[in-house]
Amino acid sequence: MPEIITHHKTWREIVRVHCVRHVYEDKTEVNLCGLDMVVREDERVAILGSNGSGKTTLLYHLVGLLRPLEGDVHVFGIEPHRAFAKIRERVGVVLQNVDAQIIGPTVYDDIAFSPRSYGFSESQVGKMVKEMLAELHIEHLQDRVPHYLSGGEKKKVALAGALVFYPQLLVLDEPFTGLDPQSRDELMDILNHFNQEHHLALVVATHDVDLVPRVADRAYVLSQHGIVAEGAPAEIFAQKELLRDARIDAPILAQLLNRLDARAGEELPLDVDGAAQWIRKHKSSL
Amino acid sequence: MSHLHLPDGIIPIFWLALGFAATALMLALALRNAREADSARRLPRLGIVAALMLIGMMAEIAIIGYHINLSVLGGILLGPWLGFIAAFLVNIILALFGHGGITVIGLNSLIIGSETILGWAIFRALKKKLNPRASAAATVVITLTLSTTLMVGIIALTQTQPALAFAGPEAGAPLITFELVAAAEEHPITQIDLARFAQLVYFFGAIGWVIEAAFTALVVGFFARARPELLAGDPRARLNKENHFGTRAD
Amino acid sequence: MELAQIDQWAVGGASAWHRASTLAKITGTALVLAAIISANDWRALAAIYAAMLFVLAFARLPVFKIALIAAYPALFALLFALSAKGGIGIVVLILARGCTAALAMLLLITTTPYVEIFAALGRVLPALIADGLFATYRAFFILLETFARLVTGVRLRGGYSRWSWKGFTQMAEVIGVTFLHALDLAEHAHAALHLRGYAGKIPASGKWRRVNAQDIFPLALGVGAVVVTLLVR
Repeated sequence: MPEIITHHKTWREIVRVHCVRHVYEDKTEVNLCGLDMVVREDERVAILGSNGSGKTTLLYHLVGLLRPLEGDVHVFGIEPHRAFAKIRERVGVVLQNVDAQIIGPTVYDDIAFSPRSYGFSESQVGKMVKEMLAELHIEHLQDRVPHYLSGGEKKKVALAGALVFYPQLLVLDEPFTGLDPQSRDELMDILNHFNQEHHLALVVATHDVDLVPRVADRAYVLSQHGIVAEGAPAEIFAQKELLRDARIDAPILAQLLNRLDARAGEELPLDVDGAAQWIRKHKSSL
Repeated sequence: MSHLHLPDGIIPIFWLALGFAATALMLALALRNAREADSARRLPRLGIVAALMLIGMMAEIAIIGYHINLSVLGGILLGPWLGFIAAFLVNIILALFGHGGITVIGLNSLIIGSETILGWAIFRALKKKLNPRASAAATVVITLTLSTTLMVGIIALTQTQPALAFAGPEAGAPLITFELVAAAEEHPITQIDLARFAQLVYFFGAIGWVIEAAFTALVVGFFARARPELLAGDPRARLNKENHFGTRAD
Repeated sequence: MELAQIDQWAVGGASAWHRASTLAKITGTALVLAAIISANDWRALAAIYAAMLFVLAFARLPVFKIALIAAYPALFALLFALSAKGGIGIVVLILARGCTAALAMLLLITTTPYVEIFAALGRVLPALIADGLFATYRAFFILLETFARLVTGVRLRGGYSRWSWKGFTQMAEVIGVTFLHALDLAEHAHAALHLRGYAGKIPASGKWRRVNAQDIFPLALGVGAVVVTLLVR
């Protein structure tokens, strides 16, 4: 696929969300003010928040499904709700409900859906689909009918459909929910692979804090007061008050280390190896 | 009983063709009138309601494992045009596994389609005077009575065949007269006693209509409590135009 | 839940009949149907019916189960039997024609995935209707799962009986909840179509047209049926 961007990190901004407010049909209001949300090229950004905090609302604004009543949203320089068609090939989306997202009668047809709708020739479509099937290791599923697939397999099919144009931004809504640990790991590997090898920026909305360090460079925290914090995962998880207010638990390792008397505000390791090292280092004072 | 599908092999070809022509005409009208600015919006609704009509037929209730006919409900939710298309889709799928003939898809679609259209229209009218449940029950009874009558009417028609007679050039008389005469060929359909058939159909039908009415009323009552805007009558006005995806997503 | 079962038979089968092209099978079925509706001797119909039973066995499908599904037209025939003035002969003919036609369709649908048939129909139907078939098919399986889960839930809570008024109201509620779930699904499906660039038609592949050696079987059945009908009158 064409390399549009140069290889080094350019820090160019591709997403900016500024103080958005949205009111639903049933009059519930979602407040996304506070910090601006910014995503840059090749970045991996997590959106953390408990259920009901507005993560999905925020994501829907990014992809033009919702129009902000107040505030602005810009993706690749344009306002998504106005002209999503202009940036469609650059933005891939994986919704929470994969069943709704899979359109084609077979896996092959589903991955081919966007290219065919865009009018590519059947041979070009074939190339694009086969490439995706190989990248995601699902060649063996190509003729299968989607509703007989497992949750993890369906997720991969939806992902393939979203990545078929090798977009620069991928937006995922709670992608790890309901997956068994192996499927989850596979999914994370694929996302990180695309991020590193194919210049894919990620925006992942999740409430699963343990996964955040593995799939994000930066995280935003959402609470009922809006976007309340931003930073590297280690910074975020050290702020106990903030997390409590946003109704999020710190990752289990962070909790353990906090219990073992880690100093307030200290950046804590978020993976098992790092935690083991920390414990060995502080062994005498425990 | 309210979902009696005509099988293959009993109706003369002339009427089969006419059935297809009439359905094609209705579909053309439906496609034109069901047009929306956002074409991606009507497809999922269409598929879902048609799917639900199929599921309804799989759900067994009451003594004889009776299957529910949700076409009236489908009409209420989709409106007359998409409702007719849904009826057609359901008929194709049913015909594909033998629940109703392929050659009579045209005629069967007119019957089921009439249920969606009439269901929509009558519910809309009654809703102004009665509460949702009562409206639904009454709508079902009236609609199914009418669609059954339509079916009997179709059967009656198929017992005849068209005859074109060429008249001589007499003064004042039309050159070609068209009339329906009793069918000359031996078709199974012509061998039934129409009166008897109608009696049976109405009798068993009536029992079915009561069950259907009660069931539909219950479902409509459920909607009236849970999502009243569904019954508002204009399927297109359901959502705020500016925010298409206005359901509470979080 | 016949649709679900039938779908599995079609998608999971690997017999020669399954492998024949969809185009050939549709053509063959059309010929068989033409033969059926013009047959006027029940013996011709019986011969065609028997041939199809044989094919089902050959395709390693459950013959009795499928024949049972094909017996649905018997209901209508019963109605006719009760109001017929032509005697038993006409009832037999109605029965024979209806059930044989149903079996022909079942033979097609248990050896050919619905999606391929829809792809074929998509050539002659308007876009919304062709897409509607796919959308209905997918929605059916997704909602069936919801529906089955709800029914199980009701059964587990005890007291579900289709013979009681309670069962009746419970089923209405199950259908109602399934409907609401369906509408949410529709909402998300709409979003997905919008996001992925729906251009007014769900494109399907041309696999259904690819002819192969096994096509000879369904075509032979079709031609045979026509011949039998012409000879046995």
